[in-house]
Amino acid sequence: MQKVKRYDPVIETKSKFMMRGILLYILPLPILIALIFALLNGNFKAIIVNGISYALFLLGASVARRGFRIEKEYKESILTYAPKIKFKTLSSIIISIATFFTSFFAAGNDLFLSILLALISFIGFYLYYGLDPKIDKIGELNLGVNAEDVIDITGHAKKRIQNIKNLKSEISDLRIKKLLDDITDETSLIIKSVQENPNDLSRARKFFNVYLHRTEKITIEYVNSLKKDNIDTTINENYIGLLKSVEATIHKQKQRLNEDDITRLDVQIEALTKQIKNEGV
Amino acid sequence: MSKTLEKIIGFLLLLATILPVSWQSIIETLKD
Repeated sequence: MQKVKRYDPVIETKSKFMMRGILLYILPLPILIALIFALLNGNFKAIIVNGISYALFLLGASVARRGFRIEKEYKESILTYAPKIKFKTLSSIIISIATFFTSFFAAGNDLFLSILLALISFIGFYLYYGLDPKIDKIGELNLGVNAEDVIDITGHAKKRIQNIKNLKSEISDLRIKKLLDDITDETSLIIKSVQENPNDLSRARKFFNVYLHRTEKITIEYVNSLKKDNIDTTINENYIGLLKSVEATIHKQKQRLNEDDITRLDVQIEALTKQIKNEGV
Repeated sequence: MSKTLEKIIGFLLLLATILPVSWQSIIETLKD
């Protein structure tokens, strides 16, 4: 098997708040109170010990939440590889070490009890949160369709969509915002369709590589011009016109995913490419 | 063992280990 580029799903869900794992921040909160008392009393040893304990728990919680985000993306993806870095497993080890350290150094328990508590917390983490997914979800692919290509291309497309969404937040024109919303929503549906039926990749590949790439590029250029206050009505209208063309073609692309009319699609992509080149923002 | 039971036990184990040692750290700090 060729070297597989793993799809990094972290970027896509970064902005969404997730409750899972909050418990790991709440449970060690008393250590923070102990740290405050130690600071007020000027107790140097207690400051160090409680500081390290709390830092270890925070680290464990952060790593766990990263693992939860990746796991969520893994569960939502139809076609993906199991995560390479086992964040949840890593977190369960960090939490166990934090429990041992706090018990032995901060709480003054003996060595045996501290090891026992660390082991119990590891088992607790495993039972409550589970460990990382191990199975690659690559489904059944026909000859000539490479799972690596599907994951790679749809992964890049998702990143492009996210980038366009981020750029959208810097645009105030409501018409443009609406068009970008439509384009990203429809493209997400095409990605889903390709993931459900990877044999459509040949038809969608050019769309992702040419179209989406161009849309992202002209949006970056448009936002850069906005920042430089370098936008006039003509450029604005040209950009809106291009987005409308992209939207219309995406719509047709979606319809044609179920057809075998590759030639017509290619002709349309060529036409749009020329248009983007001629009217480039 | 059902998934829900596993989760309940896991939750209780986490609660029974992290919370007590955290509170003990306050008591130990105040002792000093």
